[in-house]
Amino acid sequence: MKINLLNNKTESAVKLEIGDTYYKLFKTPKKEFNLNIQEVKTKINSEYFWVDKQEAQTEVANFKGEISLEEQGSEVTLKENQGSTIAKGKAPNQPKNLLNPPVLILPESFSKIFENTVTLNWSSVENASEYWIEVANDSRFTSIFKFIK
Amino acid sequence: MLNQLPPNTYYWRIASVDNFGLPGKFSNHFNFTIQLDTTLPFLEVSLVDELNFSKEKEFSINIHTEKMLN
Repeated sequence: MKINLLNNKTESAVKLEIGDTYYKLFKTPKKEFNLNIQEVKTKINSEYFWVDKQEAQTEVANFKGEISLEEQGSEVTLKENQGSTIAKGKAPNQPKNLLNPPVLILPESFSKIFENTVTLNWSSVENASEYWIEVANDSRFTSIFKFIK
Repeated sequence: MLNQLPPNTYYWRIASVDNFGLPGKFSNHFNFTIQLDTTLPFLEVSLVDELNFSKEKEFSINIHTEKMLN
């Protein structure tokens, strides 16, 4: 992290070696954030996105704002709810729209359950290959109890 | 299915993942509360007319316990 005292601007950068992470940023004009994913050049103007860096390819899903990805002289811009995959040493694939979330069904909010086992129920989404479930101890999901893939 | 949940309030949400492995945004969240009653239910027995001993074949007693939760 760098702090420029002249213009009171902070610049922070994260280098992602391998694995996947959600990024939630509180952006202001005074804050700049950069993500280094080895070969892929990124311009992050998003407050909420997900990146998975693996040996053979990188995947990026953007949920709020814009992200530009550049590799092999080719650049794509991901708008809100778009994603792209970048195979190692190849140009980024054209942005594709991400799937909508499912509708949650049961247990309904404010349910009281008198056993320690709960079955979650939701509507299926067309073309979804799997679902990721996040269970937290707070409504802002800052304290994650379980993340199920 | 979530197992072995300690008593607490939980918030849950779900994202769909496409064939490329890209997750979409998360749904709105729901919440639920686990309440475990680990205290054994009480059982209060009272004999009619304060009887403590009876030679009758039939007699009635009153039994009182806690109400069912669900």
